[in-house]
Amino acid sequence: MRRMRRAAGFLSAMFAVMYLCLGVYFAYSVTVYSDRWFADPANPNILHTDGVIPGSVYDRNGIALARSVKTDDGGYTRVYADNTDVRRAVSQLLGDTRGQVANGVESFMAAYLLGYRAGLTTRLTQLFSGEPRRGDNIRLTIDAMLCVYAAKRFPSGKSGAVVVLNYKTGEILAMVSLPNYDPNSAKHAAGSYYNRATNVLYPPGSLFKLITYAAALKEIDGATARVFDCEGRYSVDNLTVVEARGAKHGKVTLAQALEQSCNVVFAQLALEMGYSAIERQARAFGFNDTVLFRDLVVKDSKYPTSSQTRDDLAQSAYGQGRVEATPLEMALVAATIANNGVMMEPKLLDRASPTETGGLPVGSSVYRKALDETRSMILKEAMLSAVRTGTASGAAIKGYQVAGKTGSAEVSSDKSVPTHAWFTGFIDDPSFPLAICVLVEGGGSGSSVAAPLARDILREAIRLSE
Amino acid sequence: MTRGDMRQRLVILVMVFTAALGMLAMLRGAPIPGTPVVYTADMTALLVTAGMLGMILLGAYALPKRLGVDPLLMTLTNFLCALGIFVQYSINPNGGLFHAALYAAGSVLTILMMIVIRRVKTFRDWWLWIALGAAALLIIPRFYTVNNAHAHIPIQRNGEGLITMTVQPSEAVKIVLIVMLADMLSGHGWKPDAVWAAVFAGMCVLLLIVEDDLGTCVLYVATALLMFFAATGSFSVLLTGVAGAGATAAVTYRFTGKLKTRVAQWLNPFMREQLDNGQIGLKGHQIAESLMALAAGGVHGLGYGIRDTFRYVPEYSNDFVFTVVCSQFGIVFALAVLAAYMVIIFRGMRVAERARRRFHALMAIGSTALLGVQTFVIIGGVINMFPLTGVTMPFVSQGGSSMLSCMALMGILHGVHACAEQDEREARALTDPDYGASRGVSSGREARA
Repeated sequence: MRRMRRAAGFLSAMFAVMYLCLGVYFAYSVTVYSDRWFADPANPNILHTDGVIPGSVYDRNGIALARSVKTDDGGYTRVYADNTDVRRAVSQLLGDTRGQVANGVESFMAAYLLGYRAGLTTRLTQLFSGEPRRGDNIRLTIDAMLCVYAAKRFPSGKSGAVVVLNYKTGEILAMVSLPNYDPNSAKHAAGSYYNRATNVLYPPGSLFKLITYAAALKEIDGATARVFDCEGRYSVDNLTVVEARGAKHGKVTLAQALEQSCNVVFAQLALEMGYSAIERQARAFGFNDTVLFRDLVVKDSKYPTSSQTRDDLAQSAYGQGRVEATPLEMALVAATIANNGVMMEPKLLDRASPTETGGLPVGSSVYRKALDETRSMILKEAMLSAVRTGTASGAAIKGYQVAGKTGSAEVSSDKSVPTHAWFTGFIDDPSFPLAICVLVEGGGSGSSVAAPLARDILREAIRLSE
Repeated sequence: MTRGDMRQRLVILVMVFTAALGMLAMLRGAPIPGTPVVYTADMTALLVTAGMLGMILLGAYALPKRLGVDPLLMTLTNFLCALGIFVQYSINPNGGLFHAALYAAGSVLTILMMIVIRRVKTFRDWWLWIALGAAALLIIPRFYTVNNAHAHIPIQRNGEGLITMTVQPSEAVKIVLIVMLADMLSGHGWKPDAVWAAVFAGMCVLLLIVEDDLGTCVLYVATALLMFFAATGSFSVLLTGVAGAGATAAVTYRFTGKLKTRVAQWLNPFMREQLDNGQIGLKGHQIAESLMALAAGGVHGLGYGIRDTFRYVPEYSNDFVFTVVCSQFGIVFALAVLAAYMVIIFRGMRVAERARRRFHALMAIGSTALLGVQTFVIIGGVINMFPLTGVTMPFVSQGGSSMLSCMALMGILHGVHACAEQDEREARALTDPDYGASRGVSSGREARA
């Protein structure tokens, strides 16, 4: 009998552990993932909204991006912004209720828009008054006019993306993807449903040198003082690393190598440090990690380490080979460097409320610390001088401290296709804490295409926020 | 706070909950947004509520005094049953009334089961006949096909020949399994009995495999395993059993298609797939719909009676009823429901610890283990913690066989509890004559050790 009593006691404890796991898993998974579950485009509660009046979506200045308007037959229909340019500029960001665009605001924030996040009082009032359920109105952090400017200033006919965010708060001010479409017209350009800022992966090219640089500052003693030798080409095993336009940088420090975007030096650094050191730093910046932001879904950027050849390792140092990143991720890298190594969680939702104007702003939150302050200062300095005297000089704005890094990412092995033009950078100014990332698919050189584009968009952002 | 105070508070809490739900059910016209408010006075709901409140009081005060049932177990069971009745009522009033009727029948069954347990010391003389009866019960459904499985016997069809009501014999055999195993394993050192127990359990499991009822099969295996562990007190038995079950699952996964889809749906419930109609749809349909409805509920739920979120969840009144509870009452309440199940399990094991006879202790452990495993398996499946196994959620899911068998399990626990109390009283009366005299226990009877 005593044995059996012991067994009963043990089974009590076993069930306690099992149910505790069940409860913890349940509470955790619902808190972390429920927005994503609900926002799935196949959710019948988003597709069939009978009996609910979906809330409106506004930009940060109160421009209506989407509203519900009563139709003659008593139902409600979704109406988008009056201005065609606004409709086009925010098309993928806003998305639609049918899930043609993956994870746009209209579907990803449906829990708010359809009133599933309403407070208890609102819920009870609706319950007993018998009025149709009214979803919350939401205000985004987006500046629609900045989006319009970015979309118009973008090289015509080119595909690509622009992300502008506030690096102190993480608020996304502009997120534009081209080509875009007009939700009011039936003809939509091919590929215009992709949000290229968040859902498409590109080789980051030289922008990745920022991460390699950050890793080197940690892994290699005396990295700042060391002098490297660049003879214009460098042979690994089967790969010869060459410089853009056949340049030869001679004896350079690391800071100068970044400023001049010297591939040879970074390839040497990578071979010296190895995969794991770079991977650790890349992971700190959000690569190889399942990012779960509350307001938006971003494809996971990748720094693959499975192929361990020295050629791949050398190429990965300057973001070629199998390294892939989203424009938003590269904007976050610049924003983190600007914000002393602290990555703020990027956010789109400013406030949600049952009334037209009320509601408290959702606070900002730190996503993670990716870098220590000393290293972020060194990187910031190098990016500032890249704009002052280096490859990114096209991004300079008179009267402001602009920092940046350009990239021209190869997408073919034989150079038959023009490179993707990249720029990521920020304004080093506490009153205009703006970070930007620009990508022009097949745009050519980062210095001559992406940097001036970023400069103009930043200048417009300053003008709009003044 | 004394034990009596705690009990009183729990009873009040459960009664307030029941009365509140009853009131909402009575005004059922109201909680559908978008439709004009019709404050109906639903008399059926009123009657059910009144009956339920009476049952709660009865179970907490009168029955413990008269029959020696355990008030805590009774109150928690009544809470879960009230939740079940009102949730079913919000889904479909007739279903709710059916659930209430089953609850009433189940309460009678609880008392009957309790009386049987108090009277009978062993079933040894009838083992063969009981085993044959159980086998027959498990074989019959093999000849019918309901929902692509052979676990049910249809007993009612509508005008078009569609099956409207079924009986699931494996639910009744659950009770037989527990009583038989407890009986066979209760002897000291008489080995052949343990072998018979293994043979009987093996036969039941084999027949369930033939029935193609995976969910019940898992429950039988887990219950038998935990009972063998309790009888021997040996961890090697437990570990060997778990390893054996794991290996069987691995082999089944490797060689049959059935588990593969379940595992795939568990790993990625939102995976898209080409559907039969040529469109692209959700692969883990059931789980995905369940998760989306859970998410709609959020922390405090959408409110009792709000139906629009779960109407797309398959089997929402049955296997997925926990999803409905979450979407209507929110995750905080759902966690409270989990806690109620957990307290029932603790209490059940406590009843087993206090039992004076091996037969009784083993029955209590078996009943508690079955309830515990069944609840764990279905809730864990519904929230996608592990692959879904279709079993019912005790006391809440729709389904007569399941409700009755769960109530019978509670009857076993109450019976064991009452016997232990009586034994304890008699033992104390022997050593302390004043105690017995004051409680009116005849001190002359010999205490059973």
